[in-house]
Amino acid sequence: MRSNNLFSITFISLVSIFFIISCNKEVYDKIHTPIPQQVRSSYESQAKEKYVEKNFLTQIKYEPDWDRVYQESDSSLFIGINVLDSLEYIRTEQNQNYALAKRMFLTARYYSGSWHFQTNLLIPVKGSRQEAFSGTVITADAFSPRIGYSEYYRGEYINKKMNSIRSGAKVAGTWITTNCRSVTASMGGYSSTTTVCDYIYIESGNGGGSGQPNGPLPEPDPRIPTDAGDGPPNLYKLTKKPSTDPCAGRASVNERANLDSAKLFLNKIVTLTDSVEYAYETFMSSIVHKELQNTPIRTDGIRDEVQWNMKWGDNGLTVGFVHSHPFESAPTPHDLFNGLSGYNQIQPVSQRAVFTEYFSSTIVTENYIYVVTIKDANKWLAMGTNFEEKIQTGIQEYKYLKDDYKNKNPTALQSEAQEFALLTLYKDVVNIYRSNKSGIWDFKPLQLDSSTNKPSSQNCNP
Amino acid sequence: MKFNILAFLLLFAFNCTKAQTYIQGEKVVPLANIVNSEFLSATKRLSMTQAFDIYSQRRSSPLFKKPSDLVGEFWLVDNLLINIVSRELSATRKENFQELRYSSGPQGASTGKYKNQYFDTVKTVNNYNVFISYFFTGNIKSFIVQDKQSRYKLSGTIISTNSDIKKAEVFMDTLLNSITFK
Repeated sequence: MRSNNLFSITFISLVSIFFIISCNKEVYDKIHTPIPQQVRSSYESQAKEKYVEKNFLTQIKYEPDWDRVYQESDSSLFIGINVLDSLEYIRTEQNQNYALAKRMFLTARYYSGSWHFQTNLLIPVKGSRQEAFSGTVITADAFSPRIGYSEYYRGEYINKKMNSIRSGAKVAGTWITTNCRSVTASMGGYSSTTTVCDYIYIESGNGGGSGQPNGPLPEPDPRIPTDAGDGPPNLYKLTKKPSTDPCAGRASVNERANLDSAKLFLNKIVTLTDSVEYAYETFMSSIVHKELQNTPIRTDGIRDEVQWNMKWGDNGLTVGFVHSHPFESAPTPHDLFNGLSGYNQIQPVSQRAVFTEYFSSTIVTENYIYVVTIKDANKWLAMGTNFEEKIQTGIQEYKYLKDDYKNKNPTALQSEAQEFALLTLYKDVVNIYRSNKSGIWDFKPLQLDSSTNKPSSQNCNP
Repeated sequence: MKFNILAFLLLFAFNCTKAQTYIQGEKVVPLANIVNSEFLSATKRLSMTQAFDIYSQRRSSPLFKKPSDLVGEFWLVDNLLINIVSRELSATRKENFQELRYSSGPQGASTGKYKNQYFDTVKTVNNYNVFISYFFTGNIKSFIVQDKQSRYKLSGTIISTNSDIKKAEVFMDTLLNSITFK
């Protein structure tokens, strides 16, 4: 009941804001105006037909509540939103949590011959009141990646223009975490639940106007890349077909790392040298045309782990997992099997073969970049049965072999010893490619040299 | 005839020498030369053949398939096989123990999610620093020692039977407390 009241108050506050913006029109007598059916039809039609790269706001699971509609005019409506995941919340700089269910709404505007929908999220600041909102309104096109924000102080619209923001873009202002969700992985009786958040930067209001909140700007979160998402369009098409053979697959691995958009993201990860892991996934948005997109770079703020998000469905599927190790280290056994826990859930089933063919796990380390592909899909998938038990055994053996190797080779790097351990344990399951991190990236398959039994790059014949 | 006897004696002497190898490995130095420890004296060391007989019953490693593959020195204390590889730091790589914690443990160990499966710690004992790491269910308990004067690195393992896994964990502290660099 309290929740409903809060929503109502927030909703009314919003309407008040819009009222101010709209030259003080009388609006209260229009609340509960029935929604025109064509607006709902238009929304549902667009939702069905359009697939676009989602931004951090529109990737939240929600649905319009067509019973909570305010029709401002024949061409402007406000629609309530039900957030489907009750765990979703936003966290402000002051570590205050706000449930999205009370803060999100949809707007519908009619222009250029069609209805246009925008999803909005209210982020209040200290001092915001129910009847006079102060804070940021993030507005995203419901069916395009466009996203922007505007700011209010006590109901007044501070910034005259909608400022565009990109997820992860760093300007001057405030970092917030958003799209926090509880992710539970369960395998073989073992389950782990972790809260995962996305980060976004909101430029502080400095566009003039009165009533701007005072005080120093918060320090930017140093963990976030400076301009991830800038540069070439985040879409790249693969032309080289992967192969389970290490040499035959080399061209595909090199293409996938060196295409402009791919390289841009990988370079961002390379430049992040502080003490936590960073990550992003690669999403195949067109299975027919083998087009890939990268998700925004993020961190869970942990030094030796990052959680993965997988997506699948008619619009494509996640096929790549990229992350950094903020210490001298080769891939871990876990790194070879990223995404395995989600494999059996991939729908439609026909996509599973695409997943194993195009799977890649990329690990950026102190000296090298590694790319892992699947050599034997049956063996790789077999790890999924009693995964926790098998990976525990693998991790132990990996440690023992690494220690043995270092004892035998006193000047070996930790990463070399770990490469030896990985190749000893998993050379029949995966292909492991390595490139120097500096200079031109040229990935070559790793092998155990037949004479020295040490890891070495395989010189594949052209 | 004299030649045959001489050849036989030479062969016998050669075999005896091989059987009595107590230290092996690139740039490995005798532990007794650099530390004092009641458990790790030179006279109590196992030969490589003796060590391998025990080692091969408890673990198999592709790097150690025969006695001559083994590295370091070995002792047997209360049925716990102790292997220590001692080197001057200049002959190997100095370890950053905090970094090593992250790259040695299971992924995510720093969050505590593996606290029931894996143990590691960095601490100071006597006149050295030590990084201890092991899986609770594993029969190999590892430690790396670097003396405070940055002269030596010891890479040690306690290899137990599966029934002595807990005993090895308890003995780890006893063993480390017994070690003092000269």
